[in-house]
Amino acid sequence: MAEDFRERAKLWPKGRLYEDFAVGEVRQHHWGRTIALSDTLLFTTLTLSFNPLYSNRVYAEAHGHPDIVVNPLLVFNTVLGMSVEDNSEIGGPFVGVGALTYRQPVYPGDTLTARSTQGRAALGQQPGQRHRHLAHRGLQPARGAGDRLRTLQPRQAAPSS
Amino acid sequence: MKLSDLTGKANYFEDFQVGDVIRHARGKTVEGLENVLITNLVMNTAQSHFNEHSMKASQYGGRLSYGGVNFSLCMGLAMQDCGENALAELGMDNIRLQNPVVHGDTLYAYSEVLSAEPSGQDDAGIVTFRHYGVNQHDKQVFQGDRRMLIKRRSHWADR
Repeated sequence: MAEDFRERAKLWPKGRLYEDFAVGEVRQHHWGRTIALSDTLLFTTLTLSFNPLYSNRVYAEAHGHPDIVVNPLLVFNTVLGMSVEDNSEIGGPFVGVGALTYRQPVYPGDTLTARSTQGRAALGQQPGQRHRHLAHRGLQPARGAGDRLRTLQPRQAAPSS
Repeated sequence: MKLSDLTGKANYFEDFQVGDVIRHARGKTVEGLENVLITNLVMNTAQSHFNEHSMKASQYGGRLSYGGVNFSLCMGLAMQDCGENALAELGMDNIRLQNPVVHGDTLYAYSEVLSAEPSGQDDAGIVTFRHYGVNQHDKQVFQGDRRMLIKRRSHWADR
């Protein structure tokens, strides 16, 4: 019995190959993520990101915010994280990010979703490298009401088939 | 208690001169606590960051620390000195992840002041830092620019 289920199993694969990407394609990514206060406090403290706007509500309120400010790097990582299965799960190394603008603060309780527009794709630069570089342009998280919070350009190597 | 009692006294906008390079005092060793926890927290589904079994036979010998964790940690190591008195982080550019990081690697951070300019408000200016991340073997793993709106001492030191 134990052997039988493995013989009958079919893999449901995850991720996409280089050839699966079309320039200009828009991808709405899965799940969405409500950022809890504990998420941003944990992220901020684990990364030693010491600015009291990210850890002290009284201080944040004294600077005009309604609550602690969610660490912008947590927002970035959450947006990129939700895009991984569609963009880069079986890719090669994550090689960089460019032109990221923080448009407005995110607060605990906000819900983020992510969307990507496929930018250019280019051959890998290393001799003999089978991977090719992809640039995802305009990864746009929304706070539920469609607010655009961030625009960024992550670059990622994706394997070709 | 004054707000200014809660943050440093030597890292207001006026303190940053173009060309200054700061060596940040602390390093941090990357382990599952940082990599796996944050990778899963942000729902990054790439198992190369959390499946030790599948990565054992790879060229890395184990799980790869997620690049977003690596540069968040490097920027975090730089935050107290560079951004403790920031009113806001404005953006990032030219992020480069140059070498892999695995569990057990220790990261250190350096920052260079690329520009320090007035902003549209009197009480703060915009500083662009270039942050560098280096591992325990003196190999650079990260470089990236971050723009921050930083309080001016003239307006905030006594508040």
